[in-house]
Amino acid sequence: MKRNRSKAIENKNEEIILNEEQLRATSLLETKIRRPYTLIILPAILISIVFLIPFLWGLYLTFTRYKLSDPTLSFNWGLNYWNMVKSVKFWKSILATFQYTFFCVSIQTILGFFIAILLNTETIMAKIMRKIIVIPLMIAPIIGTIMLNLMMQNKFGIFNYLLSFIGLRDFPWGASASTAMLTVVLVDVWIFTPFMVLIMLAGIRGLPKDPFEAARVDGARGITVLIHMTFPMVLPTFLVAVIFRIIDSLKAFDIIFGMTAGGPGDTTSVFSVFGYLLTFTALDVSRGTTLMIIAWLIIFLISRKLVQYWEITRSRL
Amino acid sequence: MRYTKEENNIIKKIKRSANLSRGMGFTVNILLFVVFILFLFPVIWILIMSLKTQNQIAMMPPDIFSSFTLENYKNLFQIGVEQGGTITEQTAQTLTQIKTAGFLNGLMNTLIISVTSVLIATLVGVPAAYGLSRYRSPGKESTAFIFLSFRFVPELVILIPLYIIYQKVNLYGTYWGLIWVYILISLPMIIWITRSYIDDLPFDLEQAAMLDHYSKLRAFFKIILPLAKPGIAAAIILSFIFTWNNFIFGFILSTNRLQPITVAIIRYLDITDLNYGTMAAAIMISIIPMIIVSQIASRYLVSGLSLGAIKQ
Amino acid sequence: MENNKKIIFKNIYKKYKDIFALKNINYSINNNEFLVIFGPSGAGKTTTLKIIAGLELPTVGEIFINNQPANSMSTFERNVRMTFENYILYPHLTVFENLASPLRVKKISFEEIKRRVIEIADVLGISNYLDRLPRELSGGQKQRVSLGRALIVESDIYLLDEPLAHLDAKIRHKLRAEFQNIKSFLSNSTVIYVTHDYQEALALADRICIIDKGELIQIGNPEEIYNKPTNIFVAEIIGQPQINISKLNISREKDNIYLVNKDLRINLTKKFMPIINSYNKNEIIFGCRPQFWDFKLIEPELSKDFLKGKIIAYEIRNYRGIITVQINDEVINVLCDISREINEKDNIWIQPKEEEILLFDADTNNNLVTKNKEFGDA
Repeated sequence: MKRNRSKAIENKNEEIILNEEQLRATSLLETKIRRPYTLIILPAILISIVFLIPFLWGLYLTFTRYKLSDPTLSFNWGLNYWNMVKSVKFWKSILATFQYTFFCVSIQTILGFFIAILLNTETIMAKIMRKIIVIPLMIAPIIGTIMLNLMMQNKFGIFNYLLSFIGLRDFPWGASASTAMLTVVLVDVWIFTPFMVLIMLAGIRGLPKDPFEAARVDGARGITVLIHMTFPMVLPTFLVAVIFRIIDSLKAFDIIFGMTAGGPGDTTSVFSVFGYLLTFTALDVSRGTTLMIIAWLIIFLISRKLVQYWEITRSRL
Repeated sequence: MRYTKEENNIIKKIKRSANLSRGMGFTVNILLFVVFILFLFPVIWILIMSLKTQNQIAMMPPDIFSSFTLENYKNLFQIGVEQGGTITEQTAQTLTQIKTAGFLNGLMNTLIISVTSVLIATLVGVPAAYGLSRYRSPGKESTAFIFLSFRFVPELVILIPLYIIYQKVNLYGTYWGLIWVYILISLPMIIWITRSYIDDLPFDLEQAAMLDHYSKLRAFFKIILPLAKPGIAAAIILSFIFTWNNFIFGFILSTNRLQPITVAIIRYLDITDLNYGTMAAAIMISIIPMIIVSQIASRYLVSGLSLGAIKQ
Repeated sequence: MENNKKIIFKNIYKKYKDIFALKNINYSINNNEFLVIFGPSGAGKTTTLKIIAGLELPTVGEIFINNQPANSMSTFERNVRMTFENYILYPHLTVFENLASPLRVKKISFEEIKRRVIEIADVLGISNYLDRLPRELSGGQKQRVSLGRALIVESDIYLLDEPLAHLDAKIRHKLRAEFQNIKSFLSNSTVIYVTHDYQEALALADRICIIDKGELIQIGNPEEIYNKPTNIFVAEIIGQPQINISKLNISREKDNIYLVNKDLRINLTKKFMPIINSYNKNEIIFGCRPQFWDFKLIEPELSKDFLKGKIIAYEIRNYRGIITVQINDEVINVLCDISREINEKDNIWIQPKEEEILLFDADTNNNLVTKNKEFGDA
């Protein structure tokens, strides 16, 4: 009957059938309402579309053979990907990236948490530090790297001088394969722990007072409260900070490039640095873009999982 | 009910006061002092170095406690040429001047690029955030998430192709070429943070404005914007810091003439004639602006850094 | 008379996501009428107001204002004034600015704006708060500012959404009295007043429109709503204490009709014959409001016409006494004047006043006494 040409709108318990004409009239009016909103989002969308162009061009390049020294382009199918996966350097890069991310984020999280707890008090140092702790974060990572690098020099560097007092002479810092990762992680921890501190502190401060008072009445003390109450309640906020740091570490460039440029023996050749070297030192654009696309995919999948996990934690609260 | 500023302070005090015993308080102070040393030592050290002569620095251990001097800073800003002296001295001076000019130039560039890109990103992003917040459609969340995902993309994915494309379209080494890319990183942040704040404003406010016969434009400027100000401020400050401290864009897409300060400093290092003091002075000058920003805008920082997830 | 209809709803359906907030709404509102829309939370009252104001569009159907099709009319063109249930004052503007806001758009001189704001602030008693911000005001003050903002502009249609809802009892009582004054101030306009408080509805309305779960249940003047409810739902939500309802069976003995269940036995006079005769079922629902019962504390002569029960509670509320009577499993509330002679645990004999008995269909819950269910125009 007429039912085929009309649309059934379902209510919770019953079906109310409205005919085409009724629906069309109101949908026109709704579009009229939507138009101004569409208009003001448009510039942002346009800009973003332009952003897609280099991305797609880069993607295309991964299927070609293109060197800066010899700009003829030949199509390559998936050869670059295959070669990349076969190359040892690639896997070293993965190792370096994940090592870097793991060390940086774990140290920053633990350190950040404890500093945040300390800053949540009303002592003199706490009041001062709350304002000051943010300073390393305000330093451009590359400049911070230069700063620490200067201090790690053998001749004029203060760090080696201080280390000599505890028996470590001529600590090689970024120069040696065994200490290079430690060095870059150190710089990252110095600059970005305040980020964790700031967010965690805000999270702790935002907690409601009542459960803690109740716990005090029940006789729970210090550490117990910390582990069983503060930490779980503050988890969603922490995760925000952790997720940001994980993703930023996966794509880190400035610090590693400034310190070791890939490090002795590829020990610190994280994704972005490796990609840079391939493109601008080896002048092999196609390999460089291939690596970056693979890196992007890995980061994209990880970030999606992390955001999903975060939504779950948030809804559980 | 919101409290007055005084009441707020008192409440904060009560909330935070862990009722620390003397011993605990002392321990906390000690621990925080250690934290202070660990995190601020490099800055203090470089500051001290910037106020020393080359001779004082060359000593090991460096001579901290004797006289301080501002000559490093003067060197940095010196423009004039001194005539006379041997050829080597003159060449050295010219080299110094090129370095200096490059350094000051870098500061100027960073200023121009950061301010322009954040300005444009704000003008485009805030209305977009508003539209995104109020738009009723199923595709909305995905669009918003796509904007956010720009933050998660490794920069080189875009920069490598852009490097090639820019040279072909003559955008390489131009202000607008750089500003464009910086807009691309500022825009998602501004949109995401502002949208989060506008989402918190009840739609009824705009309906009340409609009933009062406000045009949509007027409602946006008189009602929404004033109420979203903290969010917009956080967004702008965060973007500004991000663009100022950025290295890789300028490194790959700019020439010597146009490099931002982060790149200029690296290039400054390359020249073999190293005067540590001047170097330290250069570093200090380049980090001071953002440190000042952080102190002035401290209350917007957390909100910005968490991309609006945490509001204060 | 078509010219008398200010607002006409025709086949209105409104859908939010998966639920229908309004279904099959067809009625009209008269010019200069004070209409109260009454119903429980979530019934669709605010949605109705928003559709009139143009803040929401019906999913299906049309609304007519002043006999013009108004679906495509913007809020701007409709010239309605509205207050919101949660006031929605501009948080960053002072009370003065909030009140002045609708006038600013109209390009009126500042002198004139100031004059009008002061005038309305006087009427509503908020003159002392003109430079406060909304967050510094109490609920009652906010409500008055909200009202002031709506009233400061003259209009044909005023929409008031639960203006007294979030106020405590004392203030509400006071403002309800003031509302009578405001009502006369508004007597040249059409006012649509939403509430879930039946006393406000009965006190203020020219007509009451009852809706539940998005559907129109009944529309009529307070007297009709109170005495001729279309179904049990209406009977129950209007009136306190709630109407006494019992499920009974029809039993005929000789020429008499009785309604009985294991505890009660009520005699129906011949007046009800036609209704009973046309009613085909055995079970029927009986209703009678607490104020329409006779009672005796001493056993009456014709005691078999009375129901005998025990007083299990006696409460005084609003200067009236409420006697709760228990007859085995049935509990009946009876309203009376305050009397010292009423004690708990006493026996009591009660009888419903015949002319106030309501009978409802056991399946549909519809009122069998009213001849037709009328929607729309009375």
